[in-house]
Amino acid sequence: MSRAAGDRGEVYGAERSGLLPYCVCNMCGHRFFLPRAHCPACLSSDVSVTASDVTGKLVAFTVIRRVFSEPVAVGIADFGGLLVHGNMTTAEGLAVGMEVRVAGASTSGSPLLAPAGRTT
Amino acid sequence: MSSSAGSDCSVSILSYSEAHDPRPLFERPEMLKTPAHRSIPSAMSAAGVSAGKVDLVMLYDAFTTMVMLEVEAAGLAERGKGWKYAEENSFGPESSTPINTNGGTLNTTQPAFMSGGGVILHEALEQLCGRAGRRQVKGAQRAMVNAIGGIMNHSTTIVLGGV
Ligand SMILES: [Zn+2]
Repeated sequence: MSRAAGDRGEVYGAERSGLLPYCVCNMCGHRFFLPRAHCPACLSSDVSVTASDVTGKLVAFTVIRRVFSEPVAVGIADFGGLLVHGNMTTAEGLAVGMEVRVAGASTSGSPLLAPAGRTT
Repeated sequence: MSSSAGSDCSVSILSYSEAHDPRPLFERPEMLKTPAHRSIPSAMSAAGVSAGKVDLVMLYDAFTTMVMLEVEAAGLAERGKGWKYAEENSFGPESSTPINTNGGTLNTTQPAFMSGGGVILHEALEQLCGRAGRRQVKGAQRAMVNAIGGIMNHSTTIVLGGV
């Protein structure tokens, strides 16, 4: 599915069905995650939003430990050059290079990233 | 403030520089290379000094990691080694490069809208005017002050000289 950038609100929310929402520049093809009216690569305002079912690789993560709460992990994943940050569904068994998929949205609006089951 | 508070004191801006990177951190190919890595060297070279040669370094410190990145940007440590600099060197007024002699905003609960000017810049002015009391860096003549905005998106550096 692909829409005009004005409809991004509907597409950003696709995380809930396991899809990764992102912007695509119609001028230069650059893809980026956080919605912006202009392409950060070429400054064109001809930007569409879309969502797709993809897996990425975990490039970095950190585990946050606080008293009186379960450990929480946040990570950065590379979906074929499209860099996304999100909350991990688990703080255990994580490894850089591990395959991840979108598994919903966190309460803060960031996507939830879950291990896809295979490490590479 | 010491007993000299209230007397005249002039401080001049020797140089100024700013740098901006609107990208979120996770989109940058090199996360440890921040706008401070442009603004600090640029202001320092315009003032004709290096970080090791100023009498005081005041670094904006909303989070501890910012100080590490700024220490690296100032050339006091190589990239990724700011933590090592902090382990091996004193930041105190008697050290060869005093940093955040008032404890910075990490020491004053990061007061909203007053952190950069009220805590970081203010201490540089106190030091250059010789009014820092027990924190005084002896003979402080030059200070480098750096501010960070956004999430490492903006950096502003000034080099100040006491008159
Ligand atoms: Zn573009």
